[in-house]
Amino acid sequence: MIEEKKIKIEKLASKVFEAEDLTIEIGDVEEYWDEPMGPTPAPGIPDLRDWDFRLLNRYKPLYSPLCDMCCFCAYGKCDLTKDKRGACGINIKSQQARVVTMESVAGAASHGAHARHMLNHMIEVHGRDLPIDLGDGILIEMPIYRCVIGIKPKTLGDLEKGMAYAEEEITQVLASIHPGNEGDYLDRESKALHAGMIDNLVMEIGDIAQIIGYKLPTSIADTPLADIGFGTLDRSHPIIGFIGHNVMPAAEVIGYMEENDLMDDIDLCGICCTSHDMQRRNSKVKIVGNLAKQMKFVKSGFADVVIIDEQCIREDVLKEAAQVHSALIATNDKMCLRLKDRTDDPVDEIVEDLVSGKEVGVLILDPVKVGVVATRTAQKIKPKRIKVRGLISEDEVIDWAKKCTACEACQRTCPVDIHISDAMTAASKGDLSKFKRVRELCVGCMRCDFACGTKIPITTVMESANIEVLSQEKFKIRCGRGPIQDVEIRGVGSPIVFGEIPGIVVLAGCSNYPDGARDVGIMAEEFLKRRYIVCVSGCAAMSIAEMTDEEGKSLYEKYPGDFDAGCLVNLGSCLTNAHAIGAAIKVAHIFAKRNLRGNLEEIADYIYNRIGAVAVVWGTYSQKALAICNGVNRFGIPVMYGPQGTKYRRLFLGRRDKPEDWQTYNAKTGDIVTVEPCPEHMIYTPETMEEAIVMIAKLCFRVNDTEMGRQGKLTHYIDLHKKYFGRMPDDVELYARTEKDLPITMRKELLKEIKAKGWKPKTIIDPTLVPRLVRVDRGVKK
Amino acid sequence: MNGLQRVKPWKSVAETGPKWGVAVSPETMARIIKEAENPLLIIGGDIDELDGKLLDFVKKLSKTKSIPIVATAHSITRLDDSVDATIMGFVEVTNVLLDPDWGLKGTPHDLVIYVGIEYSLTNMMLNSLKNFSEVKTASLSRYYQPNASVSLANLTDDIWAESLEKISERVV
Repeated sequence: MIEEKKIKIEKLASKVFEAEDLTIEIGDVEEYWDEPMGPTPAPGIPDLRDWDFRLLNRYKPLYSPLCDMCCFCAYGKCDLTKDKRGACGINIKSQQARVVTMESVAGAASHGAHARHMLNHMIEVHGRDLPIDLGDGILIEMPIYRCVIGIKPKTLGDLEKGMAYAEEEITQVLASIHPGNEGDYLDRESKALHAGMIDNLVMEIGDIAQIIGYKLPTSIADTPLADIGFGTLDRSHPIIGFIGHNVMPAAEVIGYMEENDLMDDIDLCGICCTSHDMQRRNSKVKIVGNLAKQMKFVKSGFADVVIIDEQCIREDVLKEAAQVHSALIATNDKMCLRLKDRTDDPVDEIVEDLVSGKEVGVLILDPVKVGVVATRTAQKIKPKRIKVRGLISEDEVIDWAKKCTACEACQRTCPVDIHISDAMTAASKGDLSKFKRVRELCVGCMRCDFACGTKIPITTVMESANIEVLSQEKFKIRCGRGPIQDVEIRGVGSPIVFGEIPGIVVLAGCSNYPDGARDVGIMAEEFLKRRYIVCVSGCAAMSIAEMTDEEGKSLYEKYPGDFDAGCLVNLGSCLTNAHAIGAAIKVAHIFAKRNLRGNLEEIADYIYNRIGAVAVVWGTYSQKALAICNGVNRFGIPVMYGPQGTKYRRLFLGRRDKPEDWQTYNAKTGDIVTVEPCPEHMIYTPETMEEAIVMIAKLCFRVNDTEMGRQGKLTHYIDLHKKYFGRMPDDVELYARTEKDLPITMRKELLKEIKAKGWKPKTIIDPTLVPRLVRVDRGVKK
Repeated sequence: MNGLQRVKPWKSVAETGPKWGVAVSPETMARIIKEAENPLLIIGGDIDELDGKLLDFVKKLSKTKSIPIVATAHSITRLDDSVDATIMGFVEVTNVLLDPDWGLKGTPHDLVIYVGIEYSLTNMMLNSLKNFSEVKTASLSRYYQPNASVSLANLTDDIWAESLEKISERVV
C-alpha cells in the first residue's frame, strides 16, 4: 500500500525529547522486495535510448510514406518529397517517424485511458486495498509492471503509481511531436518505442484491474468453449449487442441479468474485445465476430439494443443503428456522439424514450444504470421490432445488382481490391454465389457504399446475398484466459530457451486481412501441427474460430488451451496481449533467474537473444496495434505485419548481407563476434500468407539456440520453404553454426552444399548486445 | 497515347504527393528498358494474372534482355531453372535498393521494374524508392503507378496484354 502523509507538530515535549515546529513526512510505504533495483525503474524518455539505438542500428527503418507532405501546422502544407524540408525544418524521414510516434502514443493513450477508467472504477467499488490475487498458479502477478516500474504491486491501489507514471510519459512523448520538438528520426523512433512500452504496461494494468475487480477466471488453462458467429444468435429473444473494448457496462448488464435470472431469456452478444471479456465473465455470452463484422451486425438489425463503449467503434454507428431502429446506448466519455447525457435521469424515463423512439440513442456514463436500462429496453422494444428487417430479400438484391454499371469505383476504393462488380454482374443474372467470396474478403469498411455512383447499398446487398451463410455461422471459441501461469512457464522455459520448442507464435491484431480471415487459421494450424506454442488474442482469436474442419470443429476444439507445445492459447481481448509479453519476461525471470526489477534492458536483451517468439499482426488497422508492436519490439521480440502493415509507414529490416550489423558480445569472454542474422528483421511485412509462414519460422531462430534446438528450427524452416516455395532456402549456411545444427535427415547433402559456398563452423556464444552484461572485465565500455 | 497526359492513379491511396511519374506508351516503355544497362525485374504473388500471359511475358523479357529477376512471395514456384531468379521479400528487395552500392549481382541497377505485386503494396515500395534513393523505377502493372518514374497508364486486360506483347517485341 502506498500512502503519503505529512504530520506537523507545533510543540512536542516528553521526558526524553522536546521539539517545536516538527514536521514528519511519510512517503511511499512499500512491501519489502529483496530483489535489487535495476538501472531503469520507471524510465523516462532518455533512459532506454541506448537500448533502443542498439536495436535501431541493427534494424534500420524502411519508410514508405503514405503522404509526401506534412499538414500539421499553419505554415503548411509542406511538400517534403525527397530532399525538401518543411517550414519547420523537418524532412520526410523525420516526418514518417513523427507520424509513427503520433500513432504509437495514440495507441498508448487509448489503452491508458481504458486502464485508468477500469482502475478508478474498481477502486471506487472495492477500495484501494483489494489484493492482487490471480490464484495459486500465478505468483508473478504483473511481470511488465515489475520490470518497468520496479515495484511488486500487492493491491489495487499500488497500481496508481504505475498509472500516473504512464500518463506522464504519454504526455512527454506526445509533446515531442509538436513542431520544433525533436529533429532526428531515430530519436523519434526511440520515443515511439517508449510509447509502445507504456502501452504494454497500461494493458497489463487494465487487465489485472478487471480480473480482480470482476473476479474473472484466472490461473486456469482449460477455459470453457463458447459460441461465436451470427448463427448462434437466437432471434426469438431480445438481443443486446456490445461494440468496443471496455467491459465495464457489459459487466453490469451481465450482473443485472444474472441477478434477475435473465441469462437464458435475453441474448447477450458482442463485437470486438468487449465480447472476449464478456465471455470471460460469463461463457453464455456470444461473440458475433471481430471488427470486420461490426457494420454487418448493426445493419442486419438483429440487435434490439446496441451498446457502445470505446475504441474501434464506427463513427456512423448511431446513424446505422437508427436506420434499423436499434436503440443505442453510448457509455464512455470518449464516444459521446453528441447524445444527451441521461446519466442522472430516472431509469424508466430513459427506457420509455428509447422504446418509443423519441430518442434514437442516449449517453449513460454510469455502468450500473446501463445494466438496468439496457435490459429493460431490450425486453420492451423487442415486440415493437418484430417486423424490422435490416437485410433485404433475394429479389431486392437482384434488383439492386441490375443497377450496377460495372464502373469499378467500388473496387478502386476497396482496401483489399475486391472485385465487387463481378459479383454484381453475376447477381444481376440471378447468381448470388459470388457474393460469398466477396463477404469472406470484406473488411467491413463500407467505402464501397460511398464510392458507388449509382448509390447501391453494397454492404447490405452483400450481407443479404449471404443470408444462408449468416445462419450457418456457428463456431466454438475458447474463452480468454488472461495471464500465463508460472507453473506453465516452469514447464516450457527450458525447451523454449534451448529451442526444443521451436517457437512461440502470437497471432494478434485487427481484421484488415489481405485475403480473408481464413489465412489466420491456416497459419495457426501450420504451427500447431509443428508443436510451436500458439497464442492468440482479439480479432485474430475470433477469426481462428471461424475455420472448421470436415467435422465442423474449430482449432479450439482440437487443441488444448495450455501454454505448451502444440497448444492454442486464447489470451482474450487486446489488453491481454500484455500477458504474451509477460510470459517472455517470466521465462527470463523464472527459468534464467534474471532480475526483473527496473531492469528492462537486461530482460529485453535476454528475450531478444534467447526466446524464439514472434508476434504476427496479420490484420493491421489501429494505432493500438502499432503501439503494442512498438512495445513488443522494445522487449526484443520481432513482429510481422500483414501486407496492409506497409501503411503503418515504417518497418525495421535487417541486412543479412552486412556482417558488420550483426556484431554481438560474447558475455562469457567479452569478445565481439559476428553472429548469424537472427532474428533477421524486427518488423517485417510479407506479401502473402505463404511467405509469412516461411518467415515466421525463420524469425523464431535465436543466437542462443542449442544445436538440437537449431536443428529443429532449421528443419521446420527448410520444410516450409520447400512446401511453399518449392525449393530449399538459399541461406542455410548462415544459420548453421555447426554440423549438428543441420537436420539429421539431410545433413550430408546440406553439408556438401554449404561447404561449397565456403561455410566454416562457428562457436556458439553466450550473446548479449549490452556491454555491461559481459561477465568478464575486459574493459568493455558502455 | 500522349505520355504527358496526367493520368489518375487507379487508387487514391497512391496519390502521395505532388510529384508524379510519367505515364508512357508501351513503345516508350520498351525503349527505356532496352536502353537500361543493368535493369532488375521484380515480380510478385499476382504473377498469374492475364491467364498466364503475364508470366510468359516476364520469362520472355528476362531471357531476351538477360534481366535478372527477384521473385517475391511464392512467385518463384512459377519459374523454372532456365530463368535467372532469386527469392526475396518485396520489402527486402526495396530495402536493399535504397543502398546505392547494392546490386543483385554486385553492380547497382540503373532501372528497377516492378510487375505482378498488388497495387497498393507496389505503390508503397515505389514511394520508398522515390523519396529515399536515386533509383529509376518502372511499373508494368495494368494500372498507373504515380510513384514510379515511368508507368503504363490505366489499361483494360486486353490492352494490357497487347502492351506487354509490344514491349517484349521491341525490347530486343
